[in-house]
Amino acid sequence: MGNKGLFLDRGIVITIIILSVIPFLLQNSFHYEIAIMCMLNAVICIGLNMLVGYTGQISLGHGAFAGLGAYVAVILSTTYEFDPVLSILVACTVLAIIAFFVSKPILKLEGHYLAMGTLAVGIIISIVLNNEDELTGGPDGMGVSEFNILGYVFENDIQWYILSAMFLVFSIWALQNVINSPFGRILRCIRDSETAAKAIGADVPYYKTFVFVISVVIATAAGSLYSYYTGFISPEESGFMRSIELVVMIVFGGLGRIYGAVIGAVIITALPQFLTFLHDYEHMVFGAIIIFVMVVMPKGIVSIFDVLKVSKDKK
Amino acid sequence: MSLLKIDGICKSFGGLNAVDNISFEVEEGTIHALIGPNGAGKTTLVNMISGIYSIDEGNIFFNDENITNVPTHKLVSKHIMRTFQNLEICENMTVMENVMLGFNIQMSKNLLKCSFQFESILDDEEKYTHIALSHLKRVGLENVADTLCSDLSYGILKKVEIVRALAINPKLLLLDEPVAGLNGTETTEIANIIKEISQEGVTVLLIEHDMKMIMSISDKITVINFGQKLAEGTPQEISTNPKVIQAYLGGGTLHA
Repeated sequence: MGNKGLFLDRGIVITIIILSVIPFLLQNSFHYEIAIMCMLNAVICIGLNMLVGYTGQISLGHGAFAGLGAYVAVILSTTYEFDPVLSILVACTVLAIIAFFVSKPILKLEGHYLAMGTLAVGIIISIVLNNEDELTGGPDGMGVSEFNILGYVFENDIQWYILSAMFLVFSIWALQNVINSPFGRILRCIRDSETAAKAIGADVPYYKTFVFVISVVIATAAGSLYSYYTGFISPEESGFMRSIELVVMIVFGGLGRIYGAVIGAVIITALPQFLTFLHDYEHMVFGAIIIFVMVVMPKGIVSIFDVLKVSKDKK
Repeated sequence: MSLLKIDGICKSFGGLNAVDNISFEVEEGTIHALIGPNGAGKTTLVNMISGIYSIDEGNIFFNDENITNVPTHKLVSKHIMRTFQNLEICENMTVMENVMLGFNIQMSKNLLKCSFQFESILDDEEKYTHIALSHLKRVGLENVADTLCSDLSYGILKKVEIVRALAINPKLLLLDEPVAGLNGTETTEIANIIKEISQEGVTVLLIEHDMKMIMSISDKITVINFGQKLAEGTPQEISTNPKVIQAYLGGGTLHA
């Protein structure tokens, strides 16, 4: 009973095993870059899934929030020579405050209107990042200072791989705990019926705001880490397409499913790299694969596991 | 002593006076029925009491405390709970999870504790799962505890909604058409459940169209029509009241 809080379920154990095997398959720096990009995208998607998949509030602005957060951290540590970890913490706080004030009016909207609202916020952020070139370097982007934790410098791919993997495993574990807790139950209740949530005594706007802020903070943390890893940041990473890409990842993987966000992020991030041998037809095939999967599995890739489970139970 | 006192409340939508100066009192520990033809304003009235609609005029008192325009989510801590005419059940959650939602205000929802699975959270979870199961057993739903609500029939979900309401440990339970659309057996089962909870001291305000059930279980009936109170009294008084018979039952006599 004492340490049941540290209980790890099968999914987490399998994830850890997969994550520890993958480095043996990675041959060069480019492979590492894809792996790290997959993992950090997966972390952003886990946060976004909490908002979109579990609470039922769509956001088409999370790419912009992740980008803005990364810029805040990077500007602090590069231009003003703050400690990188401190910069990320400050960026998370700043973005939490921004998300809080943005969410107050915007989460009053529902469905398509909320999508439009968050989309607009995302575009505004993107324009600001492009135009404030004294701070952000404008459309050309800017270089980023090196990353260290309490003086321990991250310089090679393996270090970054381990850091991202730990971040990912922790995010999966924490989200899983939250979703199965009373807090998570209320989120799911809001998704299914806001009226029911009110009737059982939940302050719906409070929870919506709370989750929105958390997902933005997670996006900020993962987005900043990615910029430190690549050593470069540009407004492109906060653009409209980036926000759409994040939503595609969680829908493709499976809305409201913990591993859905992870698998979706990995596939959508890595697949284009595997398709490069197709040259000019790369995007066409990529699009066709997404359409095919969504037609066959409208509930996302993870619904395969449900089918497997049902057929196993029947035997 | 009256538990719920409704004092001249009004609500209009545009030019329509959906509820027009209605007053009545619900005695503690009784089953008080609210009846009226379709569109009479019954559900509007319940929505006003439960804080879903704002109240234009008048006051509502619960235990002598003014609860006019108190938002819905704050009424739960005063132990006022309601069910809905058109189910408000979380379809993508299991029956057990739906019932657990009823314990919402008693359970800690500290995000930090939840994400790190503090022992207090897990202990709470265990304790309330146990209570939820005993509630489910009482209405014979323990077998479907782990079934997704989207896989269950309407009749079962109606019961789940009542069980969820009971989990809150209500003093006042507002039931909005609990047996609408159910067959005879299910209706009898739910009528028995309502009688049982009433005997345990829960005050019930019941909206229903099923006259047989109303006449057999309610202690007092308020009739409304076109947003106004038409009559009030015991089932016997109501069934012989000429105004009610004319407006609502369209002539003939009512079988008690």
